[in-house]
Amino acid sequence: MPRAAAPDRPVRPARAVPAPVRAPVRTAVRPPRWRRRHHRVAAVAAGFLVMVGMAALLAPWVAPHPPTRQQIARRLLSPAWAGGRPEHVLGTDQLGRDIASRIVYGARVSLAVAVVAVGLAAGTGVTLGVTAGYYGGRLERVLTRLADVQLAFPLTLLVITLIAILGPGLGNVALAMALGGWATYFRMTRAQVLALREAEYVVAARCLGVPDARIAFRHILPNALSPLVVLASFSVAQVIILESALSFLGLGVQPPVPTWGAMLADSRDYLAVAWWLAAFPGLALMLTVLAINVLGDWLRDLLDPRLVV
Amino acid sequence: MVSYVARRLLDAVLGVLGVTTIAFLAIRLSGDPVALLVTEYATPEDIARVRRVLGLDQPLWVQYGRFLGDVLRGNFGESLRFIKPAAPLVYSALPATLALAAAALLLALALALPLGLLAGMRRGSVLDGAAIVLATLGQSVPYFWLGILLIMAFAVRLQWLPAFGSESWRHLILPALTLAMTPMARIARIVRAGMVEVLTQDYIRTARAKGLPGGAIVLRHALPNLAIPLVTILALDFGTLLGGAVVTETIFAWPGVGRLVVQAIQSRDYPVVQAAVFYLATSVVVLNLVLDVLYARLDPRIRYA
Repeated sequence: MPRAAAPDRPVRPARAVPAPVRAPVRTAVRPPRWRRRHHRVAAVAAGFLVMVGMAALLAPWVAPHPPTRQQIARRLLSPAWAGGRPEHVLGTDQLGRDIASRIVYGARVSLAVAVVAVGLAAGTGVTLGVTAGYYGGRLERVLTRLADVQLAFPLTLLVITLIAILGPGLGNVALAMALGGWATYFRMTRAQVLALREAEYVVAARCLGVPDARIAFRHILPNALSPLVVLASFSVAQVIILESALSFLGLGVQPPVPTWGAMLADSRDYLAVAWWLAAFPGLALMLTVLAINVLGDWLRDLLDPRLVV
Repeated sequence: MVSYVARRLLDAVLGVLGVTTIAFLAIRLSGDPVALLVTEYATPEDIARVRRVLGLDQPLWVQYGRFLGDVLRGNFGESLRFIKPAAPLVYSALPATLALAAAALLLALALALPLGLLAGMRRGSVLDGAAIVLATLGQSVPYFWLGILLIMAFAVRLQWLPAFGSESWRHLILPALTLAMTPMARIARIVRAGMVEVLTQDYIRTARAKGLPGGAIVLRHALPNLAIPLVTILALDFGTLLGGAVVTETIFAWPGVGRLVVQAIQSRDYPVVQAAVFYLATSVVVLNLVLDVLYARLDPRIRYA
């Protein structure tokens, strides 16, 4: 892997040293500088996500204040460096609750919903996809039709409709997103399995008398996994944004549980006087989603080098 | 071709029927609407009478049959909140939503197309790197947060543009910009990737070899081949835009179907929810159908068996 020279290393004159002979590269153009740095960017993103995850897990120890404690005397304090108090680093909201603590606790909801929703959607979609792709038959036709019809609808709309049925709350939000999301995994898994079903190693396994279910899940599925992993990583980002949008609309996890979306919704009444109410929860949300997307890009490059990007 | 369109039409009808059924079941499972209609002084007889008048005392499948018959006639019942027929309420809000979505899509295209084309043509350049960073950021920024930031900057601080309402075209700018960000990022990526791919084709080399100027190669030889992925992504994005409009309309108090449906869900105004879901689903499905048929026109290689 070619590495960009670190600035502190002595830079060797390029012409004096003959360039090492490399294996022929598929692409005519050398990858752009930012892409050569990709591994490092991905590492930073991963580090950030680990930090967010730890903060969510250890919220009671990490958060400087209880997230729902109201202190009316300290309402709408600006961040510590902008004239606020040092014990409220990112300031307080309209009820005197500590913004930093609420952001730490808000990470819990975002990550929990994302993990549960994507886990459920991927689990169901992949299981059904392998079964349908391997066995075929009537079940396959019905499921394929169902997935096609469902995929014709925008996810946000579908999830909002489901929330209207199920009602708000953490479990229902995750369930609605799983119901809305399984079809993508199903379709992709099925296509992969269909392509691999007649591969020689599958025929070989069949000749050796390996049971069907074992062939499908132990021999075919692992070879079909790469695009699914990439899909899952991007859908975690999508689910986190959608969960925040639902909380923003008041259709997600209900107060007093702090969520990034609900914090943003509250901030709208104080835009002229308290910018920090809108700035920090949104920043937390954006950085988290950005880190996941960067990791997703990196995974895609790693697992699917055929893609010209 | 005819049988293909017929099959797609059947799928479309099935899809709308499915979503409508979900919406029908939705509200009946989520709580008793009668409880919201009567006062706390209502006697059990009053409640029974309300149920009878609304047909809620019938078995579920009778209610469903009646509901489907009504839907075919465009009748979704009366809004419980406005005491007006639900369908016209939604119907009159639909143009505002479509206008917002169309403005956002045009804006996204106007920004993303040149960006993606230039980035794809000069792959590996500084411009390309900037375009990719911009697209990644655009895909990651939560659009409703962007909306709030835009209000804070342009409406509260600078006071250049109005933040709420829909009286003039100036009211459209901020919500359209908010809604355009996500599709802009996605379109730019698709156009860039498509451009990179197309430029490696033999026919581009031939065009270059016979001395065509770069502009002509891009416009006449490369761009038409981008039309298919572009139309696909536009169709997808239009659906996403309708979903995003639900949130954006709420932020900017834009009087569209999205805001209507959020308020209706919150007040359990189920006729309005059903009507809104029906009309939104139908617009998406009709658009998809039109685009599917359009593919055959765009790409002569596609033959529908």
